[in-house]
Amino acid sequence: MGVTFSLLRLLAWRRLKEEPFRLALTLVGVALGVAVFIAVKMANETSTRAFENSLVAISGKTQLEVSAGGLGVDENLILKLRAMRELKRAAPVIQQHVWIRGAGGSGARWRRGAASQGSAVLALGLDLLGDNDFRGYEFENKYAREEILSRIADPQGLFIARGVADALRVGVGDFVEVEAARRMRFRVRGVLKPEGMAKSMDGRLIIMDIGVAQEVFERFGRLDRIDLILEDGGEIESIREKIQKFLPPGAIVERPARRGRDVEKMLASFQLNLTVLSVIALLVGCFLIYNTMSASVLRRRGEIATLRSLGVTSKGIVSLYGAEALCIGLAGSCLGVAMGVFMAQGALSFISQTIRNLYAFLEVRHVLFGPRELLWGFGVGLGVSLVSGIFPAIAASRQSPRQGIVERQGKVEVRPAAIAALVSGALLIACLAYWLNLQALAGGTPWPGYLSAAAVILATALFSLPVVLCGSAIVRRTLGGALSAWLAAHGLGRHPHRNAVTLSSLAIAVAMLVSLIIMIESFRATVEVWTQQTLRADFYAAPASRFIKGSRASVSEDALKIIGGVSGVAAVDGFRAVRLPWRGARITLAGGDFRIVAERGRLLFIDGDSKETLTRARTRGEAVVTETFANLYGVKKGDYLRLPAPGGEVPVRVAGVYYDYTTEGGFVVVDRAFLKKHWRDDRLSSLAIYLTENARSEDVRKSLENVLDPTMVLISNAGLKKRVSSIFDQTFAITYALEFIAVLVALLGVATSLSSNILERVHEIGALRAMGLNRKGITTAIMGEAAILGALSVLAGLASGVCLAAILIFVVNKLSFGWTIQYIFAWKGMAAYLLVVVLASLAASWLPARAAARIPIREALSEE
Amino acid sequence: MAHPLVELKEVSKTYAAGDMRIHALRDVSFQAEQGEFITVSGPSGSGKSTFLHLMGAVDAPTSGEVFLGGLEISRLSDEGLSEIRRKEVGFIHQFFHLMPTMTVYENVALPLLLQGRKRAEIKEMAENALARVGLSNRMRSFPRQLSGGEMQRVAVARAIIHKPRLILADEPTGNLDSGNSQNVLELVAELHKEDGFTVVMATHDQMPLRYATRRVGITDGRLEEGC
Ligand SMILES: Nc1ncnc2c1ncn2[C@@H]1O[C@H](COP(=O)(O)OP(=O)(O)O)[C@@H](O)[C@H]1O
Ligand SMILES: [Mg+2]
Repeated sequence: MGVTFSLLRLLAWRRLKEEPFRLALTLVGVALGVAVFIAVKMANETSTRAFENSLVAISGKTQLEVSAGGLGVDENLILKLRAMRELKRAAPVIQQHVWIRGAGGSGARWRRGAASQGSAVLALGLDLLGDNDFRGYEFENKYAREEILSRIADPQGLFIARGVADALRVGVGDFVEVEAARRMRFRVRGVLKPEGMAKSMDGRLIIMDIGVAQEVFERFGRLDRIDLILEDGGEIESIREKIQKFLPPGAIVERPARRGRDVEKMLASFQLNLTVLSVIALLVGCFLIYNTMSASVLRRRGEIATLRSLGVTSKGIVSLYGAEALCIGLAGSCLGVAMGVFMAQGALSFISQTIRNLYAFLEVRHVLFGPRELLWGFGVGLGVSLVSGIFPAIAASRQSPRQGIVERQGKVEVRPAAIAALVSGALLIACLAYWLNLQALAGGTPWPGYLSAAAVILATALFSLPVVLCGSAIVRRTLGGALSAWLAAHGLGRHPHRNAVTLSSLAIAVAMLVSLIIMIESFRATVEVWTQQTLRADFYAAPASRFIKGSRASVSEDALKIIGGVSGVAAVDGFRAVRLPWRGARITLAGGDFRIVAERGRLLFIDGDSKETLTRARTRGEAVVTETFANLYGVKKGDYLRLPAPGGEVPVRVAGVYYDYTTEGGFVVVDRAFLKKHWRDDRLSSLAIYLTENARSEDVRKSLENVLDPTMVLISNAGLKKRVSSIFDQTFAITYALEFIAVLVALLGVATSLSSNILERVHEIGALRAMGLNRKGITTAIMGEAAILGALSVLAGLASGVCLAAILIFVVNKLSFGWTIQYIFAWKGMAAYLLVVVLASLAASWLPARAAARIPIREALSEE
Repeated sequence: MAHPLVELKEVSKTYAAGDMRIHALRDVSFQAEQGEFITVSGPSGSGKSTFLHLMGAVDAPTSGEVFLGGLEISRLSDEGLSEIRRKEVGFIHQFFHLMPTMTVYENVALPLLLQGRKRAEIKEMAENALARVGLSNRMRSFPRQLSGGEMQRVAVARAIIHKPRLILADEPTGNLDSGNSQNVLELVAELHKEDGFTVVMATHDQMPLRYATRRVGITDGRLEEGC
């Protein structure tokens, strides 16, 4: 050990000091890989944890909860439950999302028709007097008991958590306005201490009395949930079963943690994708270390030989080089962890925004960062550097004491047998990848798809050496006339192994880039076609709080009549969506006016005509389901679904399956009349408004805004499409960001690899210079090498990216989210990106090339 | 207008090594005429390579002037220096410095490629040069497949192919056994006789001296005639 360290200090450290450029690039590359990995990990964990924590915190000591999806339960049920022997407490809960803003001052006007109306917060309606056993909350100010009671009793008062107080800059005694189904004005009667429930969702929480909440949300006589605490000593599962039997149809009783499971499942799929992407940067960083280490081993052949002849064992050499790799890993991890913490903050804001857009209301501001994350960062950094440093270290130890002197001028030989083995191995793995996809599709789980993607990446790596050799041979043959290109191709052939590693890392990064571009652009095109075909109404109206994801806001059916009476309006389709417990999960049951949709709208059915299917569904009381729903639950056209309703189970036949690209986890849609009849719900979630042919849409908009309740938002067809596409862009922004970092790390690889090449070719460069090749000639030749390397990587990456995209589109996405996406290859955009990659690799070569051109010739020619 | 081919006027070269200044050459004045075969002897570290590098336009003096074919070269740009090396100079190095990925033929043709000559011309001249060093049968080989003596003959062919007026050989036999050394020296001498170029050959052993038309020595950076 001691010997290793003193050798390390004497040899490695001094060498590294001589090559600060290469060392710096390697460190930055490793650091970026580690940073991206832990940033994504931290952001993912923080958001998941925030979601789970808020769930737990808001449930407090609740052991079981009764709910009935979006329709809620009758408030009288609570009395019946309280009568049960096994239950100690039962508390009513209304839980919704609302907009809130300060009501004092000048900025207090609501923005008419805007989707965002101040701060989105979670609103809890509780029985404030009886809730103490469930959720503890304390006020920031100390109040006497009577004082608290009087504050609670105020029907015009509410309590806010610290986060809301800060966001709105309001305090006790100030007025706020809350908007849900109605807009109401409240006085802040207390600010909660940021602990427990009041700490979750970054303190974006308000609490009001249950009666007031029923009014704000127009849920008269109904509750979203009833929370239960059992008598001591009861066995939860058996009591749960007993309560379940006792409940009316459609209502379920379950443990609180289960409520978030559907969302958590979707979050997990979304986060897995990000994790996989972040691993790519790390993998590319791996190649970087491998390259640097093997270059340093190659360059120090003489030194190794000397050490060996001085009696250092081969084990000693392994530990010497292993220790050097570990040092790089350690330094890279330090830098990476520091960078990762910053990146995590950025990633978190992207990820939480996407979660808010697509999945659920989530407020989280600060990345959770503790010793565990630190350990992960270092563990990953050291592990990666050890794994990628060990092979060069072993190679170094295998070298015989003599070899260093004998091989001095040797070119690294690649035997044809090795190439044949690589090619056939790569082909075999490609076949395996194909087989894995078939397995995934047959089994219905995306996991083999991920494995298959990994196999494609491995095959790409294996192909890289043959690609380097072929590529340099082809350039040598075809561009022999251009001296620089010819020299460049020779340069590449000089160290085929190292260049192959560089090529494979850049090719893998490019492959991911290509596959993401194809996937995202295909997805975008598919969604565009879909919105074009299915969003056919001229205007859409919905309660503003509907724009908070997970909101259950609704409006009264009267809106239909009011809007229908506006001149220029031809038809109004009232749409209602409610969550229903079904098969242990929650699904969305929707009701639409099938007559209007059949006539004016359109759904893209997998098979069958839109109008025909919808008409049939309306007249026979059948349902249509989204493709996502069909895939998720294995439902086909013609199947019967048994849906829970207040009057008992309702069997519904599936009349057709249609394409849909929302993230709701699938819809079952019936005619709204049918929904009204069986589920006894007459409220509306949104409305689609069709205008008469010669109506002027600006005029109609004005008249609509005059008659609509101010809590409603009106969005034009174009506006909605724009919103869809901007959410789309936001969602994939982080994907692109991660991918660009991977490409960046790979480009650092190009720079280090070229500078290693140059260091080993100093004599050749010297000889060329002595023959009269000027500095520009050297620069051009080396940049030419980068260009060839870049172009070969792009070609290899393109080929494997096309395959990866197919896996992502047809297997992973299909099985994770249930979407059918058209595979679209957009040549133009792709060509531009790839050109940028080639140019970037040229740019990466500029510094090494310049350094090579500046080597004094006499030094390049001298032997030591 | 009879310039000497090479002329050094009071040339000094110092290197800075940390705080120390190393005087590789001190006040050297020297002339070489067309067709001379000059050996430069001296122990290792005496300044032979530095001397050759200054003549070959690969290094610039710290003070003094260097003329090649009457042209003062020590202040030329990289482009100008490169052009002089391309046309006027052929180098033979102790460690050959062949391009390992190129065939023997390509190695020899390299100086012509650098001059941008026509393909047919290159082919003819390269084949001719290889024939002259007796390696016509090894054209397609790679350097690593050759012996040390053969490699050095390739290097000689590469040095003469473009008909330079000045051949600079820096201990060309330093890395060869005595048999091969003899062969290479005889080859250089023969080519020198045929083509009439000037040879300046650094050496620290005796063998090359007998081919010389003039001998100089360097000790500690100072040049002495007639050693
Ligand atoms: N780049 C350099 N930096 C410092 N000293 C140098 C450098 N190159 C050569 N020298 C020194 O200059 C002197 C002459 O070197 P050189 O011309 O190579 O001698 P020779 O070829 O006769 O062995 C030596 O003492 C050598 O150490
Ligand atoms: Mg020397």
